[in-house]
Amino acid sequence: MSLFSRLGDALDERTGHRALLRHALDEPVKGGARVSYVFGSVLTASILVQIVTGWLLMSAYAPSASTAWASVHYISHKMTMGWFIRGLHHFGSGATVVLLALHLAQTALFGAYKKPREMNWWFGLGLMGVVLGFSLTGYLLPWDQKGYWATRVATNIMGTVPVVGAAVQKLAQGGDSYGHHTLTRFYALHVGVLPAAFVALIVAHVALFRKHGVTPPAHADLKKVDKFFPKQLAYDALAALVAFAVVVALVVKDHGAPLDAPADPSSEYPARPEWYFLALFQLLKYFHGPLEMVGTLILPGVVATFLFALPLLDRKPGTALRGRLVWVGAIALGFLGIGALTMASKRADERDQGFQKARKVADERAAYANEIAMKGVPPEGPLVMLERDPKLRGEAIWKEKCSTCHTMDGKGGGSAPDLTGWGTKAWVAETMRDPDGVLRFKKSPFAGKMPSMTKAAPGEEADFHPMPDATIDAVASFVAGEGTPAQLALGKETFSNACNGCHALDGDGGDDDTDVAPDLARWGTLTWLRSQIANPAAGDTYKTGASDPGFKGHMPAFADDVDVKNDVDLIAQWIFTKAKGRAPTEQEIKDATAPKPKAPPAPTPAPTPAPEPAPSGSTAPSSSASPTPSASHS
Amino acid sequence: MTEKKSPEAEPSRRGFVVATAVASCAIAGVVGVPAAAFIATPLRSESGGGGKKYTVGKLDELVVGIPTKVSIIGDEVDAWTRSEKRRLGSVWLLRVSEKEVRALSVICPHLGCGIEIGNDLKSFACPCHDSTFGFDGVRAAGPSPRNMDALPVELGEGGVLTVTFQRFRIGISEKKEIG
Repeated sequence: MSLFSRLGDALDERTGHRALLRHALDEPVKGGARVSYVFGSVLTASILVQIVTGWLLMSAYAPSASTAWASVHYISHKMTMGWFIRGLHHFGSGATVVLLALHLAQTALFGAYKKPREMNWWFGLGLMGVVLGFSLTGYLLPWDQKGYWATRVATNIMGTVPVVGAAVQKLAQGGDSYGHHTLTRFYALHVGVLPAAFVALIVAHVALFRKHGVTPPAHADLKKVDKFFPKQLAYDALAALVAFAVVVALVVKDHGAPLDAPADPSSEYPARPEWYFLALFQLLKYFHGPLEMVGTLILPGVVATFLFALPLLDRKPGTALRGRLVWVGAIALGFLGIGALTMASKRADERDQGFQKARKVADERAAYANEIAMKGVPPEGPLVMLERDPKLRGEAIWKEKCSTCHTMDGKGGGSAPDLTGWGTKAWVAETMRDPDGVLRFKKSPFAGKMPSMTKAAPGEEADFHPMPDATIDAVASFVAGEGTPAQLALGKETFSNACNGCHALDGDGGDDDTDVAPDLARWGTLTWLRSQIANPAAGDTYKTGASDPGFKGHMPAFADDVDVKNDVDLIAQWIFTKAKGRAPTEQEIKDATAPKPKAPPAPTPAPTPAPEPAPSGSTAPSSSASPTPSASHS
Repeated sequence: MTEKKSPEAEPSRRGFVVATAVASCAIAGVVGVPAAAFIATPLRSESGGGGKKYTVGKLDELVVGIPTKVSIIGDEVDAWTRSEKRRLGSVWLLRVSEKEVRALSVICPHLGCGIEIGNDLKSFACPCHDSTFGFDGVRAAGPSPRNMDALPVELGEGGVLTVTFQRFRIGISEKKEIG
């Protein structure tokens, strides 16, 4: 006797494992092994993969509103094979729902719900509820836009249930609104409560299955009996491999699961549930007002009740399909209905240009959030990361504060100058030719303040000599600081003759304080732009006259704006970049934020650096009873 | 095995067994190998070691012969979180003479507790397992396997002190840097 079998004997004597194994493997399959029996086992395999990948994700996921998204991002982008593990879990959940539907369809078709297997049918329905619960709770956990908004719809539906709705919703959410406790509660359900319920139900489900065995088709030759091992098990394993291969292919194709932008309660988001809930989602569109509950609760409730009651309704003995056409037909109709609703929902979204546009915006934001999170997320969470991001913050401020008057790239208010190409020679030339055009001051309170260099004012046609193009070009070169030395020289000369009477250069020239022509010494630089935004009437750009209440709708000083005052540098850089088509250099940024030299130009005083934090020196430990006043930086 | 083995049933039975084994192993492998790699992410060392330099204060804030604990303030990346200007740890500074400063890690080489000034106010002591060290960091008594860990400290212009913040393996007699 070999050592191996002697060890086996010794183990068997102590555990009885051989009998157990035989019991598991030698289960009789009446009517012979069949491919149609694979779904239960494949479903089990799929759930095993969910369990393993779920444990792995648990080891790196942090459920709180400020950490969930960042930890999921970290899993997907920084951890070894993290994208693959999370991808398996994500696509595996979809596969589980599909397999569950197939398992239900197969057992219903074969009449496996009938006496004496009613209880097992019900355990199966219970398992279906648990699996859908896993889907619902798991979808929220990344705390991204997609999961956040889809789940909010689901919990709001809970809230519409009569009598108990409000309390149920509050319990599920852990409060009146979404936050840390929504996540911790959903997480507890997802990784604690639902798995426990699942194990209890699956044990009962399998035990009853073993008690009653498979439900062979009516025509099957019951004299033929296979054992579970090896034929049926081989079918099951191969089918599981096929299902698994599909999941892996999806994971590899998409390089893991998607992660939308961080959940943002203040955003508008085109919320859609995960694809297997789309039918329910579509149903909501058909029932309005008092009928709303038909779509949210009654119809799904009718389906659930029908499935539950099926073994009680269909009591005719025998599993022959002919006797059960009504019931099987009803289930088929249900599947068709779900399919049709899902298709209708997809179709509607494909045709809805508003949705497509919103989806595109959301996708761009998601891609950008994922990109900047590679550098790490601040402790306050990913929303703060986005808020502090210069590009996004700049865009937001522009939209909210600037574009109400100014235009850029064809979008905006139009009552203040178009800033497309601001800071360039072309912009100056256009202003000189048509200062009161729609692109400049036409609708602004400064309309009529600057004469055109090429068109005579009404009544002055006789004495008017339009400025030649070459001269305009030279002046524009001088003001914008770009051009050949000859141009700049000619521009400078022309400027002192033709422009300096109104426009000062570094405080030199111009009229008095009521003059509304801006100082053009630094026009086109980040420094000028920043001053203009902070306070247009501070003298660096315009003089105090520009803020005269007489100029109704003049530009405000954003240094006094509560929303923007901390972001003046940021928005100046954003507009500079957008208008000039290049980002400011480090020197330009330094110049714009450093104290400006006053005219006449004096040597720039070196900006006083903020004092270095230093340890408070009074830390002689030996003289005190508690001798270690840890000298933190003051 | 109890069942009869007919000659033609044998190969197909073997086929089923092989199919089962191959399919199960394929699934287990495609999940298991990435799973192991995933769990092993921390073993992929990211910190290059060597420690970073931090300004901890100025020479004239220290009194000769009296240790002072100073905080190391710097930026930190912890998994997904990047935080700025955080207290990363502390260091004992001892001005040995007018122009010489010594820096000692506060982490006890025994099992990593924070070393404090002893009750006699003349030595360092670990509050966990009673290791004691002289102000020079030399082990005097207790279970610590080595002296307190000295850290490189530089005296720069204007008396600015810069410490290289290193961490060392705990519980062994040699001083071996982590990372």
